[in-house]
Order: sequence, then structure tokens, then C-alpha cells
Amino acid sequence: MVADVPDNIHPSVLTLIRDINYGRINGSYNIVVSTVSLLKNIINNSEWNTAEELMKLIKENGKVLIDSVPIESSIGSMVRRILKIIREEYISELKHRTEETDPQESLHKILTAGGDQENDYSHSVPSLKSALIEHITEFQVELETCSENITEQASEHIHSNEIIMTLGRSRMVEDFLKKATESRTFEVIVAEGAPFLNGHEMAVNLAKAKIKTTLISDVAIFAMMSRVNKVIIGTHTVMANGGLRSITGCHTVALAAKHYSVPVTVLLPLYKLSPLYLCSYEQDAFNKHVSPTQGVIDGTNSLLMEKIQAYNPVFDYVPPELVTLFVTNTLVITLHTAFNVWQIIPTYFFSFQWRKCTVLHLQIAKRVVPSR
Amino acid sequence: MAATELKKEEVRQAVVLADDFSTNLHPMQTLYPSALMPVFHIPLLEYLTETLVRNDIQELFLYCSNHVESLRSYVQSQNYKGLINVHLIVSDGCRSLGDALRDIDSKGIIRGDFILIRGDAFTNANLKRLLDWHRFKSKQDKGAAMTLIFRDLGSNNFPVKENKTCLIAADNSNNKVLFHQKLSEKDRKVKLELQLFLDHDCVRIHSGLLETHIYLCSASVLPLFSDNFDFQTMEDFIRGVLINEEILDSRIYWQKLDPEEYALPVTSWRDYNTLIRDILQKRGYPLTIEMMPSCMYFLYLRRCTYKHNSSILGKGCTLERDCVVCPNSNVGENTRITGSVIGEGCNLGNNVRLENSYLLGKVRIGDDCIVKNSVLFSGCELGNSVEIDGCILGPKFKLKLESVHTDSLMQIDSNDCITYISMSKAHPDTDQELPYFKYTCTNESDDDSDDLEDYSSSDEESIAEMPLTDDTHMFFTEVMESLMRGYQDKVKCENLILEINSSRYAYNVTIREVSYNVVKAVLSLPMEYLSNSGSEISSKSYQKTLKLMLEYFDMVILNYVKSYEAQTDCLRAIQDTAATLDTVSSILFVFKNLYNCDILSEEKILEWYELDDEDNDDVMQKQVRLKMKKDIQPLVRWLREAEEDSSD
Repeated sequence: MVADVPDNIHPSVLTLIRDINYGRINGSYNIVVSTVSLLKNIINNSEWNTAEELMKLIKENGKVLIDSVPIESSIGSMVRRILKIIREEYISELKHRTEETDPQESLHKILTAGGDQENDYSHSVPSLKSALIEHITEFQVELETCSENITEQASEHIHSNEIIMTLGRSRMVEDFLKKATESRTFEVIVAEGAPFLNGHEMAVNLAKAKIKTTLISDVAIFAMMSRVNKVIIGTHTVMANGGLRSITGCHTVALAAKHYSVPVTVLLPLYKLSPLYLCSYEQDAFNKHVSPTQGVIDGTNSLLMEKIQAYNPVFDYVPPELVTLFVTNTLVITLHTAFNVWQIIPTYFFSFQWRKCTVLHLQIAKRVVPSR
Repeated sequence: MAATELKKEEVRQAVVLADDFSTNLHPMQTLYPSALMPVFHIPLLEYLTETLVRNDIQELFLYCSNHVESLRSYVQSQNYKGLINVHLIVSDGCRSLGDALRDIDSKGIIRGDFILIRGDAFTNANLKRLLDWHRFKSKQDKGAAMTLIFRDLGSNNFPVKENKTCLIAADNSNNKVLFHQKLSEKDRKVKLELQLFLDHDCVRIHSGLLETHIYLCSASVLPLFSDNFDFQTMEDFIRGVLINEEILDSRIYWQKLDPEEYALPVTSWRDYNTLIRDILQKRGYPLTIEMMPSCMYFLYLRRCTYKHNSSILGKGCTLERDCVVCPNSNVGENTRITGSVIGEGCNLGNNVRLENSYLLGKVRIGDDCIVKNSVLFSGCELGNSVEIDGCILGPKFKLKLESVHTDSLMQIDSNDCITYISMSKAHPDTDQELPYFKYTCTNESDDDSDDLEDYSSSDEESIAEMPLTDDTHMFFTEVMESLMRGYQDKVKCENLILEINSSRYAYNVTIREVSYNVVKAVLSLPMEYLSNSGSEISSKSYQKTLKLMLEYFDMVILNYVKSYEAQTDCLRAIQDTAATLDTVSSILFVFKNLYNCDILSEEKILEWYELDDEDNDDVMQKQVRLKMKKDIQPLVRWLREAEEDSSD
């Protein structure tokens, strides 16, 4: 069941929403992949003539997707990314065409137009569709290799005989450590990540890969931190200011690391970037609260349940100043440039006309995060 | 590949009985079928279908017997395409669960194992797992008729869910139910037959289980209902199958929900209250407000409060905890809301206080109102400065300016008349107290002292106010009961004396206390008797009954009031009873009768009359004494004259 949606929404959008909501598609990566293939499908199979129409179509469908699954901000990122691809392709296709037809006019246009802002995307470009499909396929390949690109950097970040701490289970971190063990020997301390206790599974998987692994409870994080050389965690989303939305307990780990001056490395495939800022914890769908009986208190003790209020949030917000390093599939962002996350965002999501906004972004970023 | 697998597997079917035939949510059931009971601004059925869809149930049969039109229009308004096939089965004049199932059987639509859910159930359980378990079981045992689903509450001492926890005895090796009993408040003991333990190697007794109103049934359940037309309720069925296991060749199994899972059938206002709290506290995850597909744009604020994007909160308005403001509602300035649900399209004025109340939609509340522990059905209107506490207001009920109402059920009946029933008699069929959530809520609040007052005043029992120790108090009530029964059943006084003596030892009461309490009990008995029999309480009727009782209990009183001290106690009892009973006017009558029965001697009466207890500081006591003295003056005068006569 989906609430009243406009009639022109593609049925596969509703299917995707259901699949995500009912847990048939799990994890950011799978969600991202299915979102992109869905949007590609829409571009391929819907009727549209101009880029403007197409963008309207994508926006409408995208809006329903984003609103229905507000917690998965990577969906929004993908929709924006596709829109950017459309704009880029349109402009380059248009250039091709104009170059072919009338180079003089094109030159004239460059001189007079003074920028790309005046593109209204209303010209019909027949070759746009195939160009778009090609570009999106490229992008899909990029997504597929994303995790590989990150794990390949493992040996650069993990050195021999280091002690690494991680929290809970992240597939990315697991692969990263497994990759590193091919060339190095090191030790991993896994905090169990209460109340979901994914750390147990993580520890088992690492131990199977012959990594020396210690499983600790979350209360021992601070005590163990003094001997740790590096913290490596995954994240759910990176906000525009560089803050993390990651599983509960990450803030604890990051603060403990700060206290002992242990570097915190975050593995970040770029699709996890979100152009949103955290303004308040009451922000729409910043956090997800699940049933307190899932690990916080015993469900059979309903006498107690009547009397207390128990919360079970899934995510923690980790402020950007606690993160030392982001390892992404294309580049490494260090502490000094952590605030420059906003710099990638425009290039990643928005087309030329959005570049103007960078200045705005800069201002907001400065206001949100005190400059250091 | 997937398609072939699907074909092999049976279609998963669920039957939802839109009406539960036993709810206590008056007047909810007269307005909605149980399944369409509004929980926040969406019907309960929506949560249920959500769970069914999550569990890949392919077909849903909605059985409706009342409010057919509303159900039909609801089902038509929903978009179930591609999710679940919903079929309505309409049948008029169906009055019980048994009838409904017989009807479904005669229609022959159920093909295999199915899930039977009563419309008042709320659950987020993994039905798939449970159904698979049942299928597995019925493969092992062809006679497996039903799997009962219970939620473990962990404790029997559950004030809120009284009458609903069950005790079952089951074979531990295969989860076969051997014994099933619903526990009520009064059941202190449960009898199990010895045979049960002799026949099975490993019997486990579980208690504190809550029925979830979810039943996993084999196809054989429906014929069983048809063959045994005396099965009306589910309890009848379970009992019948357990007793005639051999004859019917059917067995019942049971399963417990995982501790993470949640289920609650809503059968009373208290349950409704609990359900809303639990949903707000995310117990029903993923059935929470923001996760429900039809509830987009809800903003989750701190302390389990929700606000819809389209609702407007006035300046200085606070949502304290556990509240929901549904779409298109306006809340005025400086309004405080706690533990409440504001339904769709409500309008609240300024400076309103709303506590533990449910506004079911389109309710208007004027400025400066105080609404506590109440349910306001849709279309209600409250003028300015109205105070209500513990009320249920029927649909479109309007309350005028500056009125105060407590503990009552108000609604407009079919003749456009306003009916106004006190909550203690509000149940339509039985005239009993409508189980309401008020007291459970106030228990959570800070000021307990208020509650105590509430209780005692509502009890209307003078005994409750007596500053007695617990044991003596218990003894007193016991004596009252014995005497009452004795009087009604005409038990011999010797036996009553024996009974009182045994209670005396049971509660370890001194002999003086005994005489005091017995006299007191006899004196308060007429009041109790009259109020029980429903006749008017006046001093005349009191005197009449008292006279009869004194004659009847003559022997009992004489047995306890023998000595001089006992007479003192007796007088003390009279004095205390006079203070508590409002029929002080009959005090002379009491004295006269006791004198006539040789219970009180004339010396004692005179001594008591002349005694001035100045050490007694209690003004109340003094007043009572003075009044009594005045009352018995004629008797004293007569006694004195008689004395003088005899001395002459």
C-alpha cells in the first residue's frame, strides 16, 4: 500500500518502494543499484521528447521515491545524479548537433549566452536517449566497482602489526580488512554494536579470514582505545557538512578515538553522500527508531514496559570534527578537507547551473561548522 | 523458476472477522466494526493488512456482518493492487464467531491451511514463520486442527489485562495443548486432572499468556465448527476439542511469539489505551506511524510525539509525551497536550489541557478547556472552559460553555435525545462498570494521594474509611459477609458463631475486637442488605430490617457481648457506627432493642450516658456523642424512673 500518489507514477516505482519498505532489498548498495536501474528503465521505456519533459518525469517519480523512503538518502542522491547526467548529456549532445549544423551560430552563442544557465532543455535531441543510456550504464559500472576501488586502497591505510578497531558489521569494512590481510598482518578489535549486535557476525567472518580478531562489548570501547592504532568504520550517510549518520555507538567510538588521538577512517562510497545538512535531531527522518524489544529490553517483561519509556534509535550523528579521513572510491579526503565534502557534492550531483550554488554551500558550511 | 515454486506452494489465505463479537468498547462497536476502529487516523484493519502483506499472504477474506457499507467503502477506497487479494464476505445476522465460521464453511472458499484473525487484533508477528510451523505440524499429525498463538507477558499480575491471560498445560515435546483456561481475577486456584500428568511424560504449564486472537487453522477447523453447532466462541471450540479429542480426532497446538514480536487484541478501552501507548513507543515496529505507507509526512519529535506536516501548532503549545497530532489539525496557543491523540481535522482552542484523551477526528474544543482521560468521537464540540474527566462523548455531541462532567458516557441516541449515563453503569447489556482506562492512567501520574481519594469515594463503602489495621479490617468484612449470607440463607446461629470464631483465629483478633466488630457488623448490615436488594434506604426501613436482624442474630451477639467490658466495646461500636451511618436518628431505636434483648444492661447505658470523655479531642466524635446522648435521653429518663421505682 502506498498513500495517494499521482497517477503518472511508474508502477515499478511503487514496487521498489514496497520492496525497500518490506525489507526485500537491503543495504545502501542494493538500494542504490535498484534505484538507478529503475530510473534507467523509466528513461528507456517512457515517452518523452525533450530533456525538459524527461527531467520532469524523473523529478516526479524521484520525489515519490524520496518521500516514501525518507531514511535512505542515497535514493535522493541517485535521482539527483541521474538528473545531472541528463543535463550534461543534453548540453553535450546539443553542442554536437549545433557544431554539426552551424558552427558559426555556436560560436556566436558561446559569446552571447555567457553561460549554460540559459539552456532551457526544451530542444528535442533524438540522440539524447542513447547517449543517456550509455552514460547511465557507465555510471552503473562505476557503482559496481565502487567497493572494489575502496578495498584496493586497503594496504595504503593499514600497516603491519597495527591494531584496528571497528564497530558492528559493515560489509565494506569487512571487505576492506580482508583485502588488507592479503599483504599485511594486523589485529582487529570488533565492538559488538549493541543493541543489534552485528559485531558478532563481523568477528566470525573476520576470524574465518584468518585475521586475529577480538570481540569486545561496547562498554569496553574506551578502555581498549588506548592500544588501538586506527579506527575504521562504515557509515550510512555522510551529511553535506561531513558529519556521519552511522549506526549507534559510532559517536562513542569517535569520541574515544578523539580522546586518545586515534585517527578515525570512514569508508565512503560516493553514493552515500547526501546534500543534506543536519539542522536538528528532530529533522524529518534523520533517525530511525525501532522497537525497544529488539535488544534494549526484554519483550516478555511487559509489566516493566508499561512503566518506562524506552528508545531504540538506529543511527548516531557523528560531528565532522571527529572524522579524520574519508576513503572514497575516487579520492581520499583528509581532516583538513573534511569540510570540503560540500565541494564534491556539487560536482557529483549538480550540473553547471548549480555551480553557482557552491558559494551558497560554502557559506552554509561555514555557518554550521565553526572554522578551524 | 520462482513462478513454478509458487505454484507448488499453496496459496496463503487469511480470514479476518471484521466484527469481534465480544468487545467491550462501548460505544465504539455501535459506530464501527472492530476492524475499522480508528487507531490514530487510520483503521485497525490497515495495520493488519500491512502485516499480512509483509508476510506474503496472497488472499484476504474479510468477513463482515455489521456495518457492511462502511467496510465495503473502505475496501474500495484502498489500493490493494498487486499486494493482496481482498474479498468481502457479507453475511447479515451473524451473531457469534461460531456462526461466522460455519457460514464461511458453507461457502467453501477456503482451500487449505489458513490464518484466522479476529478483527480487533493488532500484531506485527511473523505470520509466515507461524504458518510454516503449523503446516509442518499438520504434516506430522493429520489431526492438527489449530495452532493457538500466545504472547508471553512474563507475569500474571497484570492489572490492565485482567480476564485475558491464560493458563495452558501443554506437552512439552510437541507443543500439544492439553489444558486451556482463561484466568480471571477471582481464579486463585486452577485444578488440573491428574490423568493429564500420567498420560504424558513431559507436561509444561505456562501462565501469563495473552491471547493474540490469531489462530492458524487447518482446513478441518471449519467442518468442526459446522458439525458442532454449539461452538459459539473460540473458548467453546478449544474446550470442545480438548475434551472430545478422541472422538473428533483433532488436536490443538500452540506457539509463542518471539519476545521481539508484539500482539494485542483490543477488547476494552484499557487495551485501546495500551495499544496506542505501545505503538507510540514503537513496540509494534515496523507498524509505527511514520512507517505506515498511508502516513507519510509525519514528523517524529522527542518523547514519542508525532506531528503531521499539515497540522499547525500554536505559539507556546507543548506536546509533552506520547501524543500524535494528525493531519489538518490546529492546536491553539499555550495548549498542553500529553498522552493524547488528536485525530484528523480537529480544532483546539487556546490554553487547553489535554491529558490521556483521544479525539477521533473533527472535534472542536474551545478555549481554556480541560479534557482528561476521555474519548471524544468525531464531530464533538466543546464550548469554552469545559472540564471533563473520564468521559466518553458519542459522535456529534456538544457540550455547552463552562460545564463540568466526570465519569459519564454521553451520546445522542437514535431519537435525538441526549443520554447521559454514569460510567459505573454504562455497559449497555450488563449494566456493569464499563472497563475504562482512567484508573490505569492515573496510577502513572505523580499525585497518588488523589487516586486514593478517588478510589474510596467511588467505592462508596463506609468501611474503607475506618482507620483499622488490615487484619481487623479483613476480619470485619469477613464477619459482614458471614452474617449477610447467614441472614439470607437462614443459617443457624451456632454455625455462624463457629464461622466467626474461625475467622477470628485466622486474622488473630482479640476478643474485645471481636465483640466490637460483630456489633458493628450487625449494625451496618441493614444498610448493606438494603442497598443490595435495591430498596430505598430510609430510617424507617433501616429500623425495620435492623429489628429483624437483631432478633435473628440475638444469639450471636449474646455470645460475644457477655462481660461488662464487652458491653463497653458494644457501645463503642454503636458510637462509631452512628458516626459513619447517616441514620443516626435511629440510635434510640438501637439502644432500646439492645436493652430489650438483654445485650446492654441498664447500668452500662447509664454509665455511658454520664461519662464525659474530655480527653477525646476529636470534635467530630464529641458532636456525635452529644447528638447520641440527646437521642437516647427518653430511654435514659425511663431507665432512671424505673430504677427509682424499684428502689422505692
